Amino acid sequence: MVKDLEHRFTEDLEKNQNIIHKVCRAYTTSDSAHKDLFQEITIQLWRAYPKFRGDSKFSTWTYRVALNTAISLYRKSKRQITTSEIYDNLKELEYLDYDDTKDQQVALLYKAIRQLSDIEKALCLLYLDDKSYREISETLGITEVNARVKMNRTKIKLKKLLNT
Amino acid sequence: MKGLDKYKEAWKNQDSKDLKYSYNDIQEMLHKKSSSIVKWIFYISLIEFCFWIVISFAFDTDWNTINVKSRLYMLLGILTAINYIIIILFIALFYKNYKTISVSSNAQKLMKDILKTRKTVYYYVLYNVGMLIFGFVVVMYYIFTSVDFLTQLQTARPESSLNSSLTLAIVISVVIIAVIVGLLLMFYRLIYGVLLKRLKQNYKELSES
Repeated sequence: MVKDLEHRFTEDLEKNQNIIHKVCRAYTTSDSAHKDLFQEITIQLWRAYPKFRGDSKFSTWTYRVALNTAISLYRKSKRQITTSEIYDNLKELEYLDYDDTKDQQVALLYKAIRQLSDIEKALCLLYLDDKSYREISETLGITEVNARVKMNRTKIKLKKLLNT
Repeated sequence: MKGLDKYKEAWKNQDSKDLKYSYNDIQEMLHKKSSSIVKWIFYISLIEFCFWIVISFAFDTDWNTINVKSRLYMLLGILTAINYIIIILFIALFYKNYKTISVSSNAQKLMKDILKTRKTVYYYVLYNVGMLIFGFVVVMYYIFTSVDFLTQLQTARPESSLNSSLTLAIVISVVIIAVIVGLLLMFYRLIYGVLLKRLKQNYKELSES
C-alpha cells in the first residue's frame, strides 16, 4: 500500500520536477543550496501527499508546496553566501555564453529574479508561468486586488532589472 | 509590459539541462530528514517545555528543604498545582497549533500558523519568567521577615547594622534573579530571532497592501 503510494508519488514528481527546479533556481544562489532546497521540497511534498486529494492538479499543488517551502520553511545556510559568487559568476556566465538567445534570456531572468524579495520572487514565477490572478491570490492567501497591485509593482521592478 | 513578453516565452521553453533527477534519486530523497524551521521550532519548544518543568521540580525540592512556615508551604503547594494545569494547557495549545501547520495551505496562512505556534511558546516562556519572579518575591519576603534568618544575618555580620545587612541581601538576590531572567530572555530572542527573522519579514511584506 505504502509502496504503491510511494511509487505513484515518485513517478508524478519525476515528471513534474521542472516546477521545483524553477523555484530552487529562483530562491537559491548556489548549486548545493539548490539541491538542498529541492530535497526539502520533496520531503514536504511527500509528507503532505497522503492529504492530497486531487482537488487540484498535481502540478498546481506541487507549485504551492514548493513556493511555501522556499518562502517559509527553508532556512538558508551560511554556506550559500560564500558560494553565491561562484554560482553567479561562473554558472550564469556559462549560461550566458551559450549562443542560444533563449537560454541567455532565461539566465538573465533568473539573475534579475534573485535580486527580488522572497514574495516578489513568488509573484514573478507565478506571472511567468501564466497563472491567473485568482490562482495567485489563492496560492499566496491575499485578495485578488492586492495580488494585482503587488504584481504590477513587481513587474515594474523586474523590467527595471532587465533594462527593458 | 511588452518588454517582458519575449522573456516569458523563453521562460516557458526553458529546460533544466544539467539538473534532472532520476526516479531513484527522488525515491532516495523521500527518506531523508527534513530541516525545515517548523521542525526546529517544534524541537526547541519541546526543550523549553521540559526545561521549565525541570525548573519547577527543582524549586519544589528547594522549598521543601527550606524550613518555612506552613502558611507559605500551603501557598506554594497551590501555586504549584495551578502551575501544572497551566503548563498542560500550554502544551495542548501548542500541539493544536503545531498540528494546524500545513504546507499545502496558502502562503499567508502557513506563515500565520507558524508564527502562532511560536507565539504560544513565547507566552509560555513569559508566563514562566513571571512565575519565577513572583515565586522568588514570595519566598524572599518570607525568608527576609523570618526571625531565624534575621538572627543568622546578625551573627554573620555583627559589625554592620541589621538594616544595612538586610538591604545588601535583598540587592544581591534581586541582581542574581535579574541576571538569570535577562540571560534567559536574551537566549530566546537569539534562537527565535535567527530562526524567524526571514519568515516575519515575508509575512509583513505579504500582508501589506
